[in-house]
Amino acid sequence: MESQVLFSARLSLQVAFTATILIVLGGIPLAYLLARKNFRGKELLDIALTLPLVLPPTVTGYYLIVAFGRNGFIGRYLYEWLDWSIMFTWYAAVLASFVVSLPLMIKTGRAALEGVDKNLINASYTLGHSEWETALKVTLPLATRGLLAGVVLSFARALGEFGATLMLAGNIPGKTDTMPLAIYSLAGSGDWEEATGMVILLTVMAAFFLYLANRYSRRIF
Amino acid sequence: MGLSVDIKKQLRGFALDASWSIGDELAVLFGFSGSGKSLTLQLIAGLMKPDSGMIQANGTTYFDSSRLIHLSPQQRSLGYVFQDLALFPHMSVSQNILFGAKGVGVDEKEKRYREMIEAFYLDSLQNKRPSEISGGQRQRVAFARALMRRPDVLLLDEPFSALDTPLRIEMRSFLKDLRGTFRGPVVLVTHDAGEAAALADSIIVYSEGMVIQSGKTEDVFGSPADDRVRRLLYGQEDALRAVRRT
Repeated sequence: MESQVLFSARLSLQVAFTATILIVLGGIPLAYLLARKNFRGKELLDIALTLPLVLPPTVTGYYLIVAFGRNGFIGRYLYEWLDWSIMFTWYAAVLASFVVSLPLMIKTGRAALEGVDKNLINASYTLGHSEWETALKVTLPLATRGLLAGVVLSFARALGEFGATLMLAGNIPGKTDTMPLAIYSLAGSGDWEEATGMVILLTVMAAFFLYLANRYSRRIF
Repeated sequence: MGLSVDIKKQLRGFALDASWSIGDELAVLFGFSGSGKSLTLQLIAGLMKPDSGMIQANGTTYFDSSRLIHLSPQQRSLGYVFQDLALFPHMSVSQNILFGAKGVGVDEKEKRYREMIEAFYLDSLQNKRPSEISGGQRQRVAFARALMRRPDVLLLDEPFSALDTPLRIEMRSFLKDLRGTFRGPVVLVTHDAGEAAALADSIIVYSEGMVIQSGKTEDVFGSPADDRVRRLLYGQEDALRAVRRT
């Protein structure tokens, strides 16, 4: 069953890539907000966004079902207006990976952005540059390595996401069985040979991404 | 025209209450570390907001608590040279200097850049990163960058503190030359009496967040208002003698 491995590998990459794009778009602005702005409820927001890092994935999955299930407080409207539910589609796997991996982007990104010398930001302001320009030309470029490390870690985490995905997307062969889910099924049905192949593939990929993350997190300047 | 400052700022465990006014001259804010000199510069630049008071530069009100005026740092016409110089490590010398020309037209920007490169002897360094040049060279880049916008006021926060003595003395003569081209008010923060004596037209002496004496340099050195000022100025006799020899 060569195609099972190929399908799961392709689906896993597709889910992880899509989730990572969303993480870059959402996570970097959030990390910037948490690093550079003071507002009420800031630490509460940080905690809420970081919770999926420490909660059992089943708990995160449960919350996501409550929100996005067909009767969920968001899912209900999606079903009503679009006659569509995210549940048990590969989009659900993306959503689960996004929520579970986002904390890694936010934690790493916030630390990187907070590490940028405040004087450099002040210098940019006194030279007439707005906060927006300063963020784009000074703060973000100086935090590039830390941000990249966050992106790579998030991608690696998204690739390995299992629990929340299982609850939200199910484990539908040929539809939502990403590599971690496929390994679960294969091991469950005693198909050890095929499981071993995927286990090794996932381990090698994860190790490679960790190596990349370590490289990026070393300082350049 | 000049610069006048009358501000109060309460921080945790420290209170600043400073009032002074200077013309188009080089004024030194003098005092021990932690006496509120650098804080005063940050308040003038709008990097922090005073609790109350007023700041005016060349006829423009930067801050006035009674009229609810508080211009952002971007709206104030200031050249600020930071203690650690704050050169952008990811930009070359030329990119650093050009970053200071915000809002200047393309032709004018090029013209001013050429002038700066020439005036500050930076021709051979244009493509270098700040980490690849010497301390004195970095100093000159920081000044060039601060002057690109033709600011009304120049604020210098101990810009020479990281240099060793021969280079400090060289930078002092550089600053004197600069007074030939930049004619607005210059505020220099230092805790070095020799530097104050060598450079200042007038001196404003800070102690624990208050101005304890201000006036022409020779008057302040000639007749210190009290023992605190005398100790501040003449507790550093060696530094003074070193300057007089140069």
